Amino acid sequence: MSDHEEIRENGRPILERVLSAIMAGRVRMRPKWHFVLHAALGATGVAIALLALLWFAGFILFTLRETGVWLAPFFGPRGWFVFFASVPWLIVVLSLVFLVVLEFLVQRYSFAHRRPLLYSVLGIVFVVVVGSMAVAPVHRALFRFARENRLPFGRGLYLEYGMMRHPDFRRGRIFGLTPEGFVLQNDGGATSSVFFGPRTRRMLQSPLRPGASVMILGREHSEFIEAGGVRVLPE
Amino acid sequence: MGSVGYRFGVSDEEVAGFAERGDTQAFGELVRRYETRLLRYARRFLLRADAEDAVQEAFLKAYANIRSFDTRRRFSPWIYRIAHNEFVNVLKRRGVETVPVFDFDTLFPHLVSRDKPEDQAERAELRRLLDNSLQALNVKYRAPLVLYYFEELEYKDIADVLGVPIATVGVRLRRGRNALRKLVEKNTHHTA
Repeated sequence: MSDHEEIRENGRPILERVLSAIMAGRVRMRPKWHFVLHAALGATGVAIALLALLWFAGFILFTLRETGVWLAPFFGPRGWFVFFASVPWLIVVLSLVFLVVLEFLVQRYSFAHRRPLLYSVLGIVFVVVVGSMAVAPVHRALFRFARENRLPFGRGLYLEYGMMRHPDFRRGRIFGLTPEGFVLQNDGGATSSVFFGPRTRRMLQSPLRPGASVMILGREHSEFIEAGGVRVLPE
Repeated sequence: MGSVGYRFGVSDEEVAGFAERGDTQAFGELVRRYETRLLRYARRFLLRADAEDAVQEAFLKAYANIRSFDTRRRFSPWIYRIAHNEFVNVLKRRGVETVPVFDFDTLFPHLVSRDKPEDQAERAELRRLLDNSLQALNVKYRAPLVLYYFEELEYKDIADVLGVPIATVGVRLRRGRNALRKLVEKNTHHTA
């Protein structure tokens, strides 16, 4: 029995049923503007998700650079510990959520779904990493406004993340040298005595001198900081 | 029923263009051209009763969304995609396990290139084996096997119908053939 005979065997042909449903108005053609709006909403969603992702990624970069912890891995395993403890994980999680949303929206397009998922994910990550470098200075400017009390909203967020400090990690300038080490002055002008111990790692690309920019990994005691590691930073 | 003018030398895409402008007879011509093929595809997915209703529903959805079709693209993958999605919905309503939203074989690029083309005899033999064992195959492998061996769609079109990367189509075809061979061996062993 052929396929056409089988169609009629079960009653009205499919063609007749489809056309009769159309003629009876049981199904209507959606207007063109419906699909144009749908496409526009999709594109808007992609744009919003991408901008949000760039904003959050830029904020993460700003936080790591402003607090200085992006340099902490130079001190080895302990430095990596400080780094991971200082990463703004809530913002990272939000970024991942927007990454998933963006990937889901981008998969609607054939240039994305015809290729392995990994390609579009890597493409998005590349755009975000590059874009975040352009956005980070914006966050730095907003942080400055926050410190000057000129930011109408989000001031608390910027002060909290921008001034976050891990207790074992410090950055500042050498105020003066001492026989045991040096005096460190931070951005706010406060000073601390830094002592070198027998296990202090000194990563000195240039000699220690007053005014040099340094970072220190070390535990604070009541009146001094015992340096586990010291690194001179390039100016 | 239907206009003779649509039948000779007018491409599916041109007919779809007329249908988009409200020509019901043009849409009828598209139904005429594709109902046998979609029914054949549906029967390999679903039970007979389900197949006709599912194909009818697919055509009605295609009508409702015909203005989303870009006439610069090919009509065949577009209508097959609508039909495939409808058939998957039927399976879901029946509680049959379908392909998950995220599948690992769509994540990574695959180095396995397309297998060498089979000759006519090999394809005929595979079609015969498929016909006997399709219902036992995982839906994930059933769809690309049917679309490739029975509907004779290309990898690119199958990728568009299923919404997966082109390389994944090759991987699922290869794994589907392997699964089919294991089924055949198992059946042969049981009857022996």
